[in-house]
Amino acid sequence: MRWLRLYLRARRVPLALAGTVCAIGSLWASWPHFSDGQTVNARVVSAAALIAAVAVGTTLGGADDALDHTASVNWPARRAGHVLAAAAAVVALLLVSTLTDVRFEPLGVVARNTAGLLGLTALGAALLGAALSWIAPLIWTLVALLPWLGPSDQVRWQIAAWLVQPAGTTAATACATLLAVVGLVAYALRGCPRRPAAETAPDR
Amino acid sequence: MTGRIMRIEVRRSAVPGIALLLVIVGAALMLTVTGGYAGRWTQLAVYARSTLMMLMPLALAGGAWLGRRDRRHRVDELFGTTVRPRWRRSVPLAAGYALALVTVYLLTFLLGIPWVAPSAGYFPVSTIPITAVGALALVAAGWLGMAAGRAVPRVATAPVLAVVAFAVLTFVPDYVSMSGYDENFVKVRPDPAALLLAPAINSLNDFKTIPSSVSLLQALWLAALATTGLLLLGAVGRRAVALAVLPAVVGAAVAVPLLPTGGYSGSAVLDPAAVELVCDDDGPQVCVTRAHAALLPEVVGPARKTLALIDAKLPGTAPTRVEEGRQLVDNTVRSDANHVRDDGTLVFDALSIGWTGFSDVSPDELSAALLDAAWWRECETGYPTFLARAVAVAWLTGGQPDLGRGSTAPEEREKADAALRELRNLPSDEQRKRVQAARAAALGCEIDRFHSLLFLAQP
Repeated sequence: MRWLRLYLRARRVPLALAGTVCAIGSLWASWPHFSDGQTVNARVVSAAALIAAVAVGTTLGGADDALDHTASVNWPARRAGHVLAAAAAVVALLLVSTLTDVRFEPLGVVARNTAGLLGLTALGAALLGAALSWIAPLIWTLVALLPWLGPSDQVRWQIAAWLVQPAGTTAATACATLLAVVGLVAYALRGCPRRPAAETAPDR
Repeated sequence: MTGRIMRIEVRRSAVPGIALLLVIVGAALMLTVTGGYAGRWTQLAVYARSTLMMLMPLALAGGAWLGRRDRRHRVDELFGTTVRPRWRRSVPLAAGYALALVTVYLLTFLLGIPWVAPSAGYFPVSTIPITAVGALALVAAGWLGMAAGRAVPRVATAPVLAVVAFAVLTFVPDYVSMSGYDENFVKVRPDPAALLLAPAINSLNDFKTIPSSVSLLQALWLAALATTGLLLLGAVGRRAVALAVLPAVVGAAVAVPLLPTGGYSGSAVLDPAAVELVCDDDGPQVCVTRAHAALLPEVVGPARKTLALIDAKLPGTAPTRVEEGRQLVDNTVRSDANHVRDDGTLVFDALSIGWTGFSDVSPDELSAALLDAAWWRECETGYPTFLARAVAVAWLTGGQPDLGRGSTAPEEREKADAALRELRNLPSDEQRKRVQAARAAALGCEIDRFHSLLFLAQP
């Protein structure tokens, strides 16, 4: 328990969690003002998943990578566990809304978008470091949210805008699964690139 | 000296990476919609502006990342102790970033040129102010982002800013525009002028342009916003922050009352040069609008064939020239603007331009559209005449009525077939007279007569 508590604190998980809950909560609270529909649409689910992915991204690296690596623990398993636990937490957080009138639904879209965006974030963290891991998920989400993109019959648009496709679209699901698996494996095996401690220090 | 500092700052900061990312995103957006602007300079400028929906949030995020630099490297306190004013240190990087952003925007615009230059008939001057406003918008976003990154130097500042800016640029105008409708979807109040403060245009039809006066006001507002960003970046202390906000407030206060209401579609005006006719006079005259001049060679063949076909079947009364209509889907030109149209002119619907800058309509489709247009005129009534037109066209070509690819009710198809059978059972002289009279009725806006002549005994 002590290890877990210290680990969560070192990765600034409480701050990320608080930020995610606040942001998604305000999205949830403001939705009825913009629409009569009770089910939050795929665009807002994507925006919520993006916010969560950005928050999770900041927790993927520690204050000092070099110091972390000296610990003789099984890092790949712990990194994979970190990402999987984060995914479960985000999905659970979004699904809590199904107890209320304004729901993040359906489960297929929530799970697909969360998994895909977290995979993309993990991939970004493995390539660029935790501090820049938000770039790819941010750009892809904004592209998918462009007003002229939406559910489509063509496979290339289904992939480009996989976030806003209806649940069960094969190409979108395949794209999200690929991102999730590649991101998870890359981050678990490699971790964040080592940067000078001065650059990865936490925000004050 | 300043130039040298700027170059070093740009080289050793995140600016090249941000610029590269923006160019990739802008290029992807431009190259996937080439059909939207191919062959038309105004449309190219408008499409480049629509990429701002993505580029502005990213420029903000990039600025925030740059603005966080001092804190990230923990030198802000050190630099705070120097006696030189803050702006002396921030201006070189801000100038370098602005230069990079302008380059990014111009590159995005230039990428579309291969689809436009070979086929565009004319270059409207308003393209330049429309493009300049876009470049200015990116600079304003970049400087505001730098100020925000300096004020809140956290990792999450950049992505959060990007998401908020994206929402403000896309959903807010949509929401404001939609709230102008009542419950029957009738527009009860025009879009407020403040919508034009957002520089991302959604779309504009081929015959319109954004007047330079509107572009000038937008440029004024964006320049004021950029000044605010720059002043905030260099501001130390509360009074400086308050002063920094002043230009944006003044800019908005000046621009909003002068901007027209109705958003981009309301502010757009007809471009008279774009709707001028460009004609081919070798044989029966065939004309298209200057905006679609590249399509003329493709139109000429099918147009003359159609004229010959009509002339063979209806000698004496066939049209002698063909011209492109200036009526686009959203009624660009009101019907009274081109009502002077003798029956000797066949006016077909404005064409759409394809991915390559040339028509995406096959010659057969074009012929079908031209034949259909021979029976059509913009009339006061909204009564549909497509069934009667299909019968008349089938009589001309000797084929079966083509009711289009859409789902047509079986009884309508049956009705058209029956009408054509009865028409063909008449003596050929009688057939010709009847169809001739029907054409005169259609062009004279006597829709009932048009129908009764073709649908002989039917109700």
